[in-house]
Amino acid sequence: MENKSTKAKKNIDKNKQQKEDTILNHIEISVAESEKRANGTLNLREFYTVYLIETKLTDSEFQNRFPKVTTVWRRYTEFEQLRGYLEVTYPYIVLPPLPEKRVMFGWQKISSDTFDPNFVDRRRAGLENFLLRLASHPVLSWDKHFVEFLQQEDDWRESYKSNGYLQLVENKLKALNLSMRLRNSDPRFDAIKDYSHIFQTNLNNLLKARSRVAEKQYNVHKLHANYGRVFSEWSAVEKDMGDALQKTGHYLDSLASSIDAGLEDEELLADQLKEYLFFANSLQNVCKNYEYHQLQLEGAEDNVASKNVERNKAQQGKTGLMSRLFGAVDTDEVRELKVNLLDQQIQEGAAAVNTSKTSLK
Amino acid sequence: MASNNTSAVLDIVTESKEIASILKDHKDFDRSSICSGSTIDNSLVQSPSLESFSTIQDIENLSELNMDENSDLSVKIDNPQKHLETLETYITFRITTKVARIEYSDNEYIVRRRYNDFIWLRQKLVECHPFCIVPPLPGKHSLIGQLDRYSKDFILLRMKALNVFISRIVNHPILSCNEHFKVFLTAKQPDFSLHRRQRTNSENKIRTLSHSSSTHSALKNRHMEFDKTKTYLNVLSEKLSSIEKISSRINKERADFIVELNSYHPIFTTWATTEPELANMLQSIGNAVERNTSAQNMLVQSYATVIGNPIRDFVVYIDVVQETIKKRETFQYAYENSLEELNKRHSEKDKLIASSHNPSQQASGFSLWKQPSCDEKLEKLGVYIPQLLKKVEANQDSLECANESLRSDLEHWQLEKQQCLKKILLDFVNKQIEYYQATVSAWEHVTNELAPQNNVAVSK
Repeated sequence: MENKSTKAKKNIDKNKQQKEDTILNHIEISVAESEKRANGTLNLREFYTVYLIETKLTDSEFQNRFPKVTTVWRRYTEFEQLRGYLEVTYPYIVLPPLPEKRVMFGWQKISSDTFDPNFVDRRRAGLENFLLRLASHPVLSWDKHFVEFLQQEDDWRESYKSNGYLQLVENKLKALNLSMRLRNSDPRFDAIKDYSHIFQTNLNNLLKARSRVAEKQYNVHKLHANYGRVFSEWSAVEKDMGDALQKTGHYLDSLASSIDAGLEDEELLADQLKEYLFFANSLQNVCKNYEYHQLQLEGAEDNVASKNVERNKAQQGKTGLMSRLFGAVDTDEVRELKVNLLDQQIQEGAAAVNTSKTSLK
Repeated sequence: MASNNTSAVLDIVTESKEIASILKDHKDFDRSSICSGSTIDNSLVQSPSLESFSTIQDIENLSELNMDENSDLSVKIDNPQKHLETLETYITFRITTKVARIEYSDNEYIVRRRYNDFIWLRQKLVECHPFCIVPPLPGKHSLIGQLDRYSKDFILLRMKALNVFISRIVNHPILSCNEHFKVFLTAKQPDFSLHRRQRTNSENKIRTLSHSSSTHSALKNRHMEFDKTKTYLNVLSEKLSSIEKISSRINKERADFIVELNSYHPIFTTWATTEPELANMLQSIGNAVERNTSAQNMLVQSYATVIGNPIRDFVVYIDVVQETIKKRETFQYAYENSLEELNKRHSEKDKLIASSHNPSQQASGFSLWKQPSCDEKLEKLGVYIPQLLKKVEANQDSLECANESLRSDLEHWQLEKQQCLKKILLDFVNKQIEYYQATVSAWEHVTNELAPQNNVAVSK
């Protein structure tokens, strides 16, 4: 792990020197507002929330490529679609995560209603984070579809549908979720995979425990409010101690309400931890992608090996099946070519994974 | 130790072989305390078991008991011991008195008393001073939870409460001069048992009056002043009980909180093992959480001694005051009754006199029959009415007396109440402050540790 971190440092320095360009250097992105909308008729209304994405051009040199100011309304599902597309197109990049779809690690004060204004606001912030991270990625930020997502409301929807990305994403998801056994797996990826699992478990435990602790803490503080009432009533009948009792009552009331601000802040911190929890997921996805390719590679290698055996057997004189042999030999050669090509691609892909991995760190 | 001053007592040591042999095994025993009292009964002092009282610190410093060392009378109770007798087992406490009053022939006394003796003392004080507010005793076994009668905790709790009881009496201007109290503090065992068995006449008088205490609602003139006090006491008692309830509820929640916290800080430690760069930070956070937990634990543990018991005990004290006020009402009732009867007789007399001057009103044949009975009645009334008058006057006097003494005692009690409540509330607050200070310092420790680390990280 330590080697990786020093390597990462070197890469970061390299990046600083190269100043890899991202669109964030040229435009400003913000998710400013949210709105509740409804689909359907009066009786069967389905509600959903949309978020306003604003972009502003900050670098006048790019005037030709980007409009000056754009505003686009997007809902959460569309963000999910964008991310799905990116997963399929760049399987070797660790993608930034979206904020949670449903309320996780909720407790007494955090309602599990996704229309709760607090939740909507926290989601808004999470979506902004997501877009900013994408926009600051040297490769991802220049993706055509990403820019379209930011700036052209309907066009993006059309192009998404027409390219059939939904189908692609679903297929990929199915493929990745099969359990895979590898013969030779790269120890680096194994290490990353193991680390991401441990990381995920730790964060999960932490967030669960934190929400339970927050709840208890909240309860203890709120109970102090009961004191306030009793002390006020008591102070009314006391001559000498009256003032002091009154003050005590007030103080205990303020103690009870003081916990709210602190816990709200803590909730925002928990959100950031959740982001990293989901990052672990992304890490795992990349590993899965690698495994998938490696599996293909191994499958193809197996194929080649078996075909070779066949070819040898054929050449060693099974004259009765000449036509088949001819066909087999041909297909064999063509296959070999294909396999080699595939091999190359996989290795390219793996190399790309490695470089982007280290550059991301 | 007090052993230097009790040399006089030490010389009286009787040589009971069993006790001496037991003592040889336990060096930390205070010889003077064992020998001074326990052998007089010829009861065997039980050899200390593992759970014994020999390890209880004798109260050295009077300030532990919030007593003024310079007053002319100071009493402390400590050193409980178990006694085994053929019929029963019981615990006695050593009572040390330092006094500089004329009525007391000596300057210092050490005696041993058991809980029943305290009950006797309180009874006597109530009899002699019916309108003084006599402080309540700690409860009998059943009231203090499921604690074993001889368990260390129970005995300590009781001893503490007995100290409070005695110090309240000592600070009372009237009660502290009571004859029985003096006997209680000074008499050696045989004299004391003798004294206990005496019965005085006054007991009976008070008893009969107290039985008619249920009809105070029939009072004609409710005494404004005492009524106000009664309402005030009701409110106070109610508020204190509410506070106690709230505190215990909070305490329970805190205990739950501690359970959660206990599973919280190990997570940081586990996580720290897999993060080389963040390990220190995570470990520190885990430590801070752990310190928070232990500070809360202390808070929770201290609940019973700081809040729970003191408030409950004080509420019992308030009840005693209420009872005393009720007693006064019986006097008022008696007075009003007798006054009423006097007036009735007066009007009867007047009626009879009026009718005897108008014999024409008696139109029936029974007039002859009535005449002599009328005279008889008048005669009787003539004797009866002055008697009643005397009774009324006597009642009025005692009522006035009762009012006065109760009034002054209430004033005294109000001051005491103020002090007592103030102490309870201050203790409560101080414990909270301790807790919050501990938490703040734990987290400050973390930020101090992290600050230099952060600077290093940023410069990277």
